[in-house]
Amino acid sequence: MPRLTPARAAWLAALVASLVYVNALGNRWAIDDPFLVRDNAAAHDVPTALSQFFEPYWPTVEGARAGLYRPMAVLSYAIDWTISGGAPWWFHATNALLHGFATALVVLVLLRWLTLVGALTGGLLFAVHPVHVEAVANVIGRTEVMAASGMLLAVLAARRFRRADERHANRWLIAVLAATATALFSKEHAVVTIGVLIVDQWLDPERSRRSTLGLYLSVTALTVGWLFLWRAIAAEYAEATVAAGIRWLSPWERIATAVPAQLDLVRLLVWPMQLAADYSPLVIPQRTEWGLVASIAAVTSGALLALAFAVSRKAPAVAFGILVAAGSFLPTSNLFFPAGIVMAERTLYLAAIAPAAVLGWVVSKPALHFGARERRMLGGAVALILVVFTVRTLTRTPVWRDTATTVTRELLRHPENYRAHVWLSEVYAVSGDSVRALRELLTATELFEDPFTTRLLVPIALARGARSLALGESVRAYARSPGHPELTRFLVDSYLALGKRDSAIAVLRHSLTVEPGNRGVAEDYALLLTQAQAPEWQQQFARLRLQWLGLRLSTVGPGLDSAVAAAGAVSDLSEAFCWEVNATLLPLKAFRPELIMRLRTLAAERGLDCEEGV
Amino acid sequence: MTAPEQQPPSSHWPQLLAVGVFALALWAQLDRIMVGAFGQDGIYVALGSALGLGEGYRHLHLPGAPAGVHYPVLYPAILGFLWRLWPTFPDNVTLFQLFDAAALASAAWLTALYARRRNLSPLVQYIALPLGFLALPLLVLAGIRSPGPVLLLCWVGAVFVADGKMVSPRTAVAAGVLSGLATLASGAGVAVIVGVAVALTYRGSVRHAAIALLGWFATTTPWFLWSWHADPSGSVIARLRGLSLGAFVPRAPVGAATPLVGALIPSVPTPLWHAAAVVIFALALWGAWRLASRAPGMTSSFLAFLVWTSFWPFAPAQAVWIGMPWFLTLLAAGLSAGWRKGPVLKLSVAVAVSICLVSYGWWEIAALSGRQFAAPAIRASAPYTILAPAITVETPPDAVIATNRPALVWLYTGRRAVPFPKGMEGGGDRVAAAAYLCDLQTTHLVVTGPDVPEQALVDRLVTRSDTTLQTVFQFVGGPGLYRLQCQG
Repeated sequence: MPRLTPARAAWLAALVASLVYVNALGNRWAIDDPFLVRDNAAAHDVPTALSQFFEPYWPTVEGARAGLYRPMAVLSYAIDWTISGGAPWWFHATNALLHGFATALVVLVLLRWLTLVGALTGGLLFAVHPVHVEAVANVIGRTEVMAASGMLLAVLAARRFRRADERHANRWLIAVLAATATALFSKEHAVVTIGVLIVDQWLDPERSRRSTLGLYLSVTALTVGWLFLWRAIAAEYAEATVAAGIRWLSPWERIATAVPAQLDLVRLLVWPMQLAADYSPLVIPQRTEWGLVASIAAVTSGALLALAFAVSRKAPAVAFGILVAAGSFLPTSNLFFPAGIVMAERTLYLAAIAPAAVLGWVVSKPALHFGARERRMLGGAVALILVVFTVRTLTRTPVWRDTATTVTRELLRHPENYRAHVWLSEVYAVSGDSVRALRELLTATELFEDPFTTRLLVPIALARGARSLALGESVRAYARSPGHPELTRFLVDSYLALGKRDSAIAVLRHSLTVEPGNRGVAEDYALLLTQAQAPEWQQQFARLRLQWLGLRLSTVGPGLDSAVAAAGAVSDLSEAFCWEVNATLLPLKAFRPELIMRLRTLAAERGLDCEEGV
Repeated sequence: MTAPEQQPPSSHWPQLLAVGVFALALWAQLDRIMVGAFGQDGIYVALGSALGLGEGYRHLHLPGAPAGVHYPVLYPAILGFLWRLWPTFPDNVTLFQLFDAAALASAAWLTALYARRRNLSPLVQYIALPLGFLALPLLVLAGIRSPGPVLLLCWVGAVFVADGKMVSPRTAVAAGVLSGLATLASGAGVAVIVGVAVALTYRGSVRHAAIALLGWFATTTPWFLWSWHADPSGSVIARLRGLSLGAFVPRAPVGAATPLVGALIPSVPTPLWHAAAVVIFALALWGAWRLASRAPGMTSSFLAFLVWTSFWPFAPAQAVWIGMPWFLTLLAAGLSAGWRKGPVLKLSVAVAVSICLVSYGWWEIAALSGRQFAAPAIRASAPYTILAPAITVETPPDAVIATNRPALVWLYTGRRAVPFPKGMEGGGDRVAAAAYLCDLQTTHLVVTGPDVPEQALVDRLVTRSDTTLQTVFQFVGGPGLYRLQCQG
């Protein structure tokens, strides 16, 4: 039997990690894969991916983008697509191989503190841990694997840096920076890399041969530079990406909701038998007050962190695992800022190093203290855990076969998950079954009020003639996000479908009051006034505002004179006059400030009180 | 001759300073400021875009797209490379900002390393240099696209090599090439080769000084040859002489040290200001004298820089600010020396330091807390935030716009642009102005407000019979756009 060496242990763990996902090769595109890979031109060839290196991760969907920046992931999709011609199995094979690579790195990282068998055991647990299924069996989960690999590579390179002689130190410093950059450009989570490096050095039993402050300063500079880039490219879309479960919560409510989710984190890492494709607001309940569960979760998290510090000398691997898990969870923990998720299994990819380290440590210790019988029992228990986890992973992987499979399986487990209903409605809509699509959307809306659902529901409802339903949903959604241009459009369409043009005009006015700079809404307003054959002065004011928003400034000045003259010729000005004047106040001040006095007089003569604006 | 090299291996001060400068330089650029709001920053980016787009080194923003012979090529070449990486303007300005911050940080790192190797006093290493790199004028520079950081980086690199422990033909070539790169970054970079040559000669190696000069010639000659070859005499550039490009207008030396000293005592009343300025400048000169033997390259190149920027007609105050770290180094050396002398000098030092601390310290704190360093750029950008999109809507693509920020207008609207003729206060010579504008096929005029000199010209052109000036739009008390029609 060949002797076990670190390299062989790493290879073995990598092989197991890749093989356990062999049934993922039958998977296709699921959930977000179609948007980000299948239908994304940047993911189809390398030159396009490179030319869009400084673009946000999400391609523009209906004018909206997400606050994410992961160009290395897009580049990897493009390479895969170029090689495979877009065959999904190839993408899944790459994911499995990347998972194998990350697992090998876990073994090498743990070897610092554990015996060879212990590190291998930890690596095997990491390889078969079911919480990884979402990250590995779903194509876009690759971002997690790439980021984790980059961070672990940075740890290994930093160790070599600490031990290298003067001649080679800079080489390893560059390696650390390259690995960190790969991680950062793969997923935002890698912003914690510097923390991981510090923890690793703190727990490293071997003293560094050199000062590492320079290394940390370099990684800090890289991270700061990346943050600057991210801010310019994706930050403005970040607000639109905030998870529905926390979007409308106050900071305190968000924390009260987020802290209990940490119990799910622990559960998923320790015993990941119950998995979910999505943790929607009902799967993880929204909380408006700090409750008992939050207290338990806070105590549990605090105890685990305390444990990490307490065992840092006796079981540094365990401390490393816990601290890295906590650190990698931090960016999406919602404790400091609202994130795009409340909980997602894919984000726990690197966090699974915690149970891996614990199991590896348990296996490492008995070699010193336990007898042969106890060792056999322990070996049996470890084998059992690994087998159970492997079986769970193997059975979970096909759930990510395609969107329909993921959604239907998700609904069987979590019928309260409103997003699963939304996804199912999309599946039905694509297949042309609008009745079922509508039904699913209605169920989703009943479960949780999310304007995103309304954006899908209203067009289908209107197309099917369910006008009152469309109106009700539009009113509800608009009340939640007043002034939102798309929701304004739906509400207007719903009113128009019912023949209520005046209500539609009133909605547009309200929307313009909330968001005065919205050109699309201003266009709709001007159009509707024309269709309604509104008074000439009113139409003129609406057109002026449109010209102002479109910066067609040459017409604004003369147009104001004309509009005021038209208004002056009318004896019965309505209350709408005040609104029109107020809404046009900026151009009035900029081009014809003297008209303000004339409008003031005009309003007073007609018995109108619009003093505030005029 | 050379001072002992001192390299405590555990000291990470240079890296610490570099990361601090990098972070602060990025922080200084968080405001959304339009490129070109200061004039020359836009010209550099426009030249970079020309290179990035493969159009050659030309002023694409000017009618006829003349060659960019009057702007050293290194910084635009770097911008051109970055433009190719990210060709979407103005999004790609982020990349320029990152590069400038990195260049400034690298210069800080190298300067701190230099100070340590030359065994400069702790006052210089830990007080003067950080203050020099974190000074408000440098933050202002960091906020606009300027070749300053690249110049400083090449400058420090050349001085680092020239003042190094070992002088060999190879290091002399390196010093010469780096000096050449400094010259290719900015005209003021000529001072660097002067400093390097003086330093090497001072260290007793005329041969190495000659080698350095050869390196400098080899680096810069292609550029000078190309400039000479592409000199657009008789073209648009020639007509723009006396405006902002290319004219060697004789002027009295203004004393380049004034902006540096002025930055240190910003709010001191005039009579006291002059006295304090003299004391501070004298102390800096004394510091230069004291450091001359230990850091000959640095002191001589800085003095040459001051002389150059005093006589060079196009050096604005910003160009001098880049010398702030060196100036503070010399000042700190002067203060340190003065403090050890008799009571009169001690008193002078105490007074100078107190005035600087109160005046500059307050200014820096107030500016940092309120981001006042960004205020001039924001103010300069403000009219164009509405003008640029309005010009795009209101003018045809082949329009030629007369404006005080031609590069900005071209970058954001794609319209060619020309600067206004000089001397427009009170309307200037309207006949000559009209002829100039018509000669350049100007179709539109942009003014940023009623108080700018161009407004007077516009007011006078309205009354001319051989041109027709129509108002396209005019904000009350704000910017305006006019259509110009030349007769015949």
